Amino acid sequence: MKRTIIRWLGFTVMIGALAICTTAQAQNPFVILANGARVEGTDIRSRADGTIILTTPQGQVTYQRGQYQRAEAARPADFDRARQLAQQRNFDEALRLLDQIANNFRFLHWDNQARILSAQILSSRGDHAGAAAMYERLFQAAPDQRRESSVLWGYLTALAESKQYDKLNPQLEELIARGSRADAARAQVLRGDVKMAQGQVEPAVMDYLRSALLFETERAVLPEALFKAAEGLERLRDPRSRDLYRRVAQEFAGTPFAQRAQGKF
Amino acid sequence: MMHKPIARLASLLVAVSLSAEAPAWAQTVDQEFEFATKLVERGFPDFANKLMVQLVERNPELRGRALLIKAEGFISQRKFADAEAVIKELPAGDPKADAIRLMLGRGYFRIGDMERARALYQDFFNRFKDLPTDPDLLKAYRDTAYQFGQMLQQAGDLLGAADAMGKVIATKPGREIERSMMAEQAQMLVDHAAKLSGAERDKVLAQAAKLCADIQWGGVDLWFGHSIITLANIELVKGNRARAQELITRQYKDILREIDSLIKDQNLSGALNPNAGARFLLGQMYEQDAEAAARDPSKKDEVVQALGRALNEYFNVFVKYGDSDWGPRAGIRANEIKTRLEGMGRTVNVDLGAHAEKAATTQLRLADNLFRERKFAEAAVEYLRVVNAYPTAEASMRAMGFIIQCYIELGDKLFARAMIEFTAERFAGRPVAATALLSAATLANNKKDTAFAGEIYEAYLRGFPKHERAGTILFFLGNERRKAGDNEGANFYFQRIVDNLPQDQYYPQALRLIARSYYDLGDFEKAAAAYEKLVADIPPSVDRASAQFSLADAYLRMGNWTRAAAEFETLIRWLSPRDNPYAATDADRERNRGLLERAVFQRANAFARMTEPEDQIPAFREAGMKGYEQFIRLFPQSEFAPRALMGQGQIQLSLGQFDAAARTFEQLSAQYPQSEEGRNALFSLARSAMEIGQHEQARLAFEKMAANAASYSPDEFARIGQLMIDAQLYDQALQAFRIVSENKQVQETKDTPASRALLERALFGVGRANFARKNYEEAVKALERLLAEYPRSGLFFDARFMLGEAYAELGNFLASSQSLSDIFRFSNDPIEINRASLKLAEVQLRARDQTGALASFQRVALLSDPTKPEQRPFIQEALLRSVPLAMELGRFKDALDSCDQYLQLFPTSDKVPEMRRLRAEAALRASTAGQPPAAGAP
Repeated sequence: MKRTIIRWLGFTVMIGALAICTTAQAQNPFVILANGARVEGTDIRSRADGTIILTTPQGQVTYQRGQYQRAEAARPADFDRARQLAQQRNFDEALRLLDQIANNFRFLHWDNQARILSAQILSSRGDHAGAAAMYERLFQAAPDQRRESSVLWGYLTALAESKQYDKLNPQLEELIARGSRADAARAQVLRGDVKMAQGQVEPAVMDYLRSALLFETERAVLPEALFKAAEGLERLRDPRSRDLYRRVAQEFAGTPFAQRAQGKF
Repeated sequence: MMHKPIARLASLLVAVSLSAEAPAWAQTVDQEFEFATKLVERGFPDFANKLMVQLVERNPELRGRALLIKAEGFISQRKFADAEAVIKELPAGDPKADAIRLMLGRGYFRIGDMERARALYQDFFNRFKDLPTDPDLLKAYRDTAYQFGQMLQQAGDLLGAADAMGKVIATKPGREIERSMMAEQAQMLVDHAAKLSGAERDKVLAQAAKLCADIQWGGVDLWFGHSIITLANIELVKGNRARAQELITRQYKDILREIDSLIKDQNLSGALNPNAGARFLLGQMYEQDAEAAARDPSKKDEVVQALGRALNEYFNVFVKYGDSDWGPRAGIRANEIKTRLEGMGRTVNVDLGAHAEKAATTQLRLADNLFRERKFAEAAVEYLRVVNAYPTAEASMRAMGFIIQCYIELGDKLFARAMIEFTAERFAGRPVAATALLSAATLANNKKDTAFAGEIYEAYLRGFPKHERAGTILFFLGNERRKAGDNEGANFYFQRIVDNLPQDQYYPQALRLIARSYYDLGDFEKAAAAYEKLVADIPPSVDRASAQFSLADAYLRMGNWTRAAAEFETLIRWLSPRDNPYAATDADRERNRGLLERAVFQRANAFARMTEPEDQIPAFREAGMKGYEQFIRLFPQSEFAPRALMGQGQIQLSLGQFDAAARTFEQLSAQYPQSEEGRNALFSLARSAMEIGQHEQARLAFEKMAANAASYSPDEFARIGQLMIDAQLYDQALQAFRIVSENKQVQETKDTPASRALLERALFGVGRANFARKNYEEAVKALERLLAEYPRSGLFFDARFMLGEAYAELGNFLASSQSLSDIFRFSNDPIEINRASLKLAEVQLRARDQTGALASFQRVALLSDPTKPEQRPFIQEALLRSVPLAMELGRFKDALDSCDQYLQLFPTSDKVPEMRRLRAEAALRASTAGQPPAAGAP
């Protein structure tokens, strides 16, 4: 129950954050050409082969795939409607609307946004396998989305939660070996989570410590890595857990991990 | 020319700084080493070691580098002998050995063993007649020289420290470092000169002055400021007080002020501010003024004024520049002057209390230095002074540990005890005080005074029962009792961990040892309960798998086949998946493979033996058969494979499928001809039938063998004869032994060792069979014949024991006693002797020789070794039997002694109340009978 509430709160924040981002977008449809020039229009359509037809005051202009970098339709009203429905926990209806957007706005930006929001809704209702599948559909349609940190981590977390370790592990290894320092630090922690979920407490602690000790400058990940290392050590009855809890509480006051660490040392 | 290994050493010494610049997120071998180093630094040497084991498993060529980490881990845990052992694992001339030696040097220094630290460092510098030319090696040389200088300075060897700083300067480390080293060196020389006199002193001061001049030629900076203070100190040491004051207050006043502003503007550390030295020096001078004025009783006000000025300077140095070299000394001086002024009836408006913790900490540095220099008497005085000045400061609690250590070093246990009790009572529950007691106990242990260490630990456990190391100490004490053979005592400590510290790191080990001890004592019910708790409380690991196996095994031994099968099933489920979480290393996996193999075998065994509910028996046997088949398929080369096949045969026998069983045993002989089970199918069939209580089938098998005796070896008949006795088939047993003794080949070679052994076994078997069917006369005949014909037989003691029992049954107690007496006349085995002694006591009691019986019991009680767990049950029984017997004989002193011995050796036994009652009764009756009074009960 508690977990569900936390998930719901997290989801609400997430949807809110998405709303802030998206309302800042331009309202008119536009196309950004291969040379970076922006062409605005009054209407926009796409064909199945990726061709874009933009209606401008001068008439209709057709852009073949490869001639443009990006095409974006005006924000669909149904997108905001879906978001509201999700906030009201009417997930099925929200997902239905988002599915429609994904189909109707192919190549027009909102198909991807709809898939991302769908994945987030699926995750928040506990359907992590569904969320992971949705992210995979997104990556198939828009491989560039994989480079978006929030999207990538949404996907990896969904894989972890749905225990799809065979798919997850190689991606974590890749991030650890070649990702940015922030991603590598985070990947170490998620790999620790996977091991912990499989009952491999000591190897999990090793991953958390690896993140905490080798990526100390990654302050966004550090409290989580330290806290989880402490939790693992506590499970192993290792008295050093208290030192780590103490450090989290003292050095990272104000973070949720510091709150949880209080009273543990 | 540079020495190659030393060049490699340089790369090792600079490895940390180099690897810090490498892309840390690339999970390379270097990164793993960096991680391991950090694990050691952050107090996880065990994790570092595990990481290295895994790394070396994959990359054996990295063993040398891994050893470096291993040594680092040992040193961080103060296991110096282990670290030195690591050096021996390295090839001769390996530069890693030098790196470890230097780490060891630092380790020894940290624990105050300056001699060893110095020797290791000196050995390093002795290798270089000239400065190294390789830049990396030169850097390593410089860093090492600096570390060494710092160590020597802290240890009070200022001349040595100045020399080490000279080594750093010689490497030309760059202008800034060079000037700072020169400044430090000059001040060290002055401090050293202050302890000298005459020409020797002037020579050292001249060296210092030369260094100051060199610094000042280099320009005005921080170090220029320090040189001013040093020059003023030189004048002070020479006795030129006015000149010293002039230097600070007039000649260089503006420069010092300028430097002070510069430091403040640039937010530099106050620790380096030369004004600290200047103000301290002024404080010293004002103090000297006060001393001079105090010689004249009329100048009391001048004394107070001078002391006030001195206090002002010292207090400012202490508060503003507490981290500087002058800070601690200023704190001490300020505190003393404050006390002195208050003693003169003055109110001092300087509050050191707000800085008490810092003051105590800084003032303890002096005591710490004395302690490090092993000047324990002076150190104790200094520590006590600080403790009295700041009685509630945490630093004072830490100091208590050092005070106790000082008294231990001085051999003054009385004072040490007083301090121990004070610490445990006054600072109860305060972690710093707990640690202080533990460090003192460690010292007592290192000095092999385990009794005194025990006293300290007990005080610690009283004062700090929930301290984070309480579990460790309880476990240590339990283990000590275990080593002494006192399992009950050990369990007493282990149980305290289990009951009170369920989150402690030693909780699983304590629980495991408790379970193991119950298991060893044959109390499988309690063992199972403990193992069950253990399994529930620890995460997946080799240890959990092992505990689960032991749990199942305990049920097996209780005959609870259903539960045993279920627990083995659980273990099999855990260990079967390829990537299960129960193993982290290859060694773990190998161990778990062994567990899995045994679990599969034992699960089948359990199914083969289940008897309830009765209507399920066919299903159980079916499961057993499948289990054995599965085992043979999975582990055909296992040592248990023949027994698995035998198990199949046994199930067939139990189902009355004699022919099928016979075929199975034939298969057993064909597939595993070298195994004991496979050597002879019919023999195995008989043995199997008897094991499952199918005696009739065993008899049938035997008769088949007897009918065709020539096809079987005499050895097989000797073995089956023993089995027949166990099955109470005495006629068949005697027939088997007769076949052996009448065997033509055996008779023809009866003087060969093999035949002789067979004949001995046959005679003993005849004696045993007759004894078992209560035909004691025939038993005596056979056994006497065995002992007469083969007086050096390996069965001598068994035969004597049985003969003693047979004679006793015939009422011939004298012959019985003689036979048993022969055992402890000739045996060296304490267990055998004890068994014979207790049996003799029984015989003596039957012969109404109570005095003799008491003597026999006392022999066991007094001559056995209570530290050997296997002898303790005999001692316990002998004492329990001795006491009532001694009381009956009116030998109350003996009864008292036995009670005391029992209470001392078995303090946690359930017979203790009874023994205390008997002791009280014996003491009363001894006093009324005029025997010597008893001392208090232990």
